[in-house]
Amino acid sequence: MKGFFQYLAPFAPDYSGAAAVLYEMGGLAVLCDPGGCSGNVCGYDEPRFYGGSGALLSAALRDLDAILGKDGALQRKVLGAAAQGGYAFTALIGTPVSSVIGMDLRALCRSIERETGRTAFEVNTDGIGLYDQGQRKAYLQLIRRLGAVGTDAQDAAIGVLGATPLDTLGLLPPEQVRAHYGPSAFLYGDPCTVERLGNLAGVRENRVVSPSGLAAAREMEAQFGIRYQTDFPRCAAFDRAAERLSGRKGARILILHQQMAANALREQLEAEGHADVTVGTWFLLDKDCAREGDLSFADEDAFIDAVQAFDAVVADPLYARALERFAGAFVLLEHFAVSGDLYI
Amino acid sequence: MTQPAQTTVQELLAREPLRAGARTQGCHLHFNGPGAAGFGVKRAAMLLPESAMLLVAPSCCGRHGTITGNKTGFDERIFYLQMDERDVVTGAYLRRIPEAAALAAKRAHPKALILCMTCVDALLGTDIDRVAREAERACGVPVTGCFMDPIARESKNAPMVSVQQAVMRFLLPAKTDPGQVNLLGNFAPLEAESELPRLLKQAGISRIGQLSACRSFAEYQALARARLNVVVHPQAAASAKDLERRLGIPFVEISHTHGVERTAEQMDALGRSLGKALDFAADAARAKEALSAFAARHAGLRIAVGEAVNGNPFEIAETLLEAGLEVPFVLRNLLSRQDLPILRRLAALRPDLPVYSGVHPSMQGAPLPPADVALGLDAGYFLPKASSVCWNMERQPFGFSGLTALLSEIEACIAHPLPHREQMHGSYLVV
Repeated sequence: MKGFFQYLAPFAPDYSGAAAVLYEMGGLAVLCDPGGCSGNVCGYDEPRFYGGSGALLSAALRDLDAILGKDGALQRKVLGAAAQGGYAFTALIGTPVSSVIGMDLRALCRSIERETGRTAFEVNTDGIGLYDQGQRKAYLQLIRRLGAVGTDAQDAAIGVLGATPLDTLGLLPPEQVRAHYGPSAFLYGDPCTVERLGNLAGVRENRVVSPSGLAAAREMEAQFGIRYQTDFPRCAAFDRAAERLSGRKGARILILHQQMAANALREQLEAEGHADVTVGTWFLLDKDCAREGDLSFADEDAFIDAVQAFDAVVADPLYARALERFAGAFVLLEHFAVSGDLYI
Repeated sequence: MTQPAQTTVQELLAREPLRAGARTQGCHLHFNGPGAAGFGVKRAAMLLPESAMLLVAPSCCGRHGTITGNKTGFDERIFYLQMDERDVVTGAYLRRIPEAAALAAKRAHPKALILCMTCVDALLGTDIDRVAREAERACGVPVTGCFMDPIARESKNAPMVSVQQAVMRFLLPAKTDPGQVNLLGNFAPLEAESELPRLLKQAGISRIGQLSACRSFAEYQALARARLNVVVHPQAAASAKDLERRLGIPFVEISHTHGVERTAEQMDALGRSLGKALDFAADAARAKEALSAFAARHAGLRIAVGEAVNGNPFEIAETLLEAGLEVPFVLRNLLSRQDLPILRRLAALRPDLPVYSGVHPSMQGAPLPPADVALGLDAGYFLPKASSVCWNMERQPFGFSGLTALLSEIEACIAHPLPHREQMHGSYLVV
């Protein structure tokens, strides 16, 4: 039945993805919610929040604000916080509430920008999409609003898109991502200097480690000629999964994760002699990065049926609940956007 | 470093008119700090044994259930009907709810199903009662609705009010048992050390019904036999009114206080409701002695009082100040009806007592007055050097023993401090 989930619990939503991209960059990120959405982010989806210094605040919308359309009150609250923190930019992140009441986030941002003299932009999330869609929107807005190229790109660092905790935690800590791409690598989402914030597209080339970064990488390529490659660094979690599968060379294997991580593990398994490896995902599946037969899931029943065709599944432990009927091997590969800190 | 927005008890009282629902620091964006958390609608609903929940919402609204559901074990009883953009525009998801309810009933075999909707349906004006009736016809078990809509958090139909009404709505009329009263508003069973059962025996009460102590739907149904509902948290008052209207069970609101005299007043009020004066003199004397001894042992101890506590933070501060202890500050965002008389008394004790809002943006990394003990996990987050004391709805002390339990907990946390983050992970709170 469309939309009905009896085994799988909700994954990290789009606004959590947007917040993950913006959290440490030095701006003020405001979730246009009553408090519950920001609770999801701060309590479960943003592991850097505890003790962190990022400015991620809730609009604390109340029923009368929504019914009476008191956007001016929200603007005053945002301006109050912006004045206090001296933030480099302001981002308004959408939620189901701002979406249902038709809040014009773009107009609010224009007004905030006029008042503060600093860039303000909206991320039009609605809590319906998943985290990678929110990340995709946030990356695009960053590049469109703060991306002007002002340096010689040949001398600049490598940019890394799609390396938020939601994409990589449990597989790769950020320091390993940085070690892999070199100490000068710029992870989009890193704390930024003012110069960097005015020139986010000032990179030599981009590496895209989750599909959420593809749209921004393509836009930078089209607009600034910055080339990109998709990639995901080899990690201990991959090696553990490969070890578990080493005695099953003829098995049909399904890898469930975000597409770039799953692709990288597939290549590793193929290099070790596995011939039949399929990538499946509940998140974005870019057709240019997919092979024929790769699977995109949106429905629990279809997911359960599809999995039965495989001999082994490599996936986050939370998926196991939906696989009661599955007789094959279940190999663990954590995905923070799926199970948060439950298994990490 | 930015100074945190602050006011004092005296300044609050100088505001004219000072009303319940007023914000201590005015209108501002919220910092949802770790520790500024509550029990949560889903967990509160899942206290009903042998029940299931169907959450009809955008996927994001169920996210915290993914984590807390797994940690507390209710994930097996919660089902999701997720809506997409088209659903929100057309309302098509409403037609799928009966089928989803039937599927949930088929899988979980619940004795009752709670249909939970969110801000989206609250704003769209969905007739939740009608939807629940249609779901009931489809799934064959009683269905009732509640809202998990933080957008109504400051209204009289706040989510934690709505869910407590919902879970008691399945009670059917039953013959009154003169030897039973219920406690409403607590999410954990009354602690074994409480003198309440012993005191109630004086009034012929041998059974104390509590939702959180029920192990089966049949035990839950026995709650309908109570002669009196004792409301120990204001959020359960609406539920008590429902039960009075529907089942004829009267109710009395008894505050969970910590001060000995105030607790005595509450016990007197409870006795009056039962028609029998309760003799609690020995319990009150023990509590008074325990507080004096604690104050003597810990002269000069500075205890900051957070908002995420089981009790009224101002009343707890008053109790500590009366005993001669130091209270560097209290955290409070919204003033409640119960706060106003306490503030007037506090003005006599410590008019310059600082009051901060734990959700004010300026609290992040702010320099706060130093404290030795942080009571409540919200205060604990802001005071990393203090001994953090988790004193929330995960446990339910009550009466004079509530004070002694609090003092024991403070001493235990001073002697064996637990890292705040570890306490957070162990508390399953919903941020």
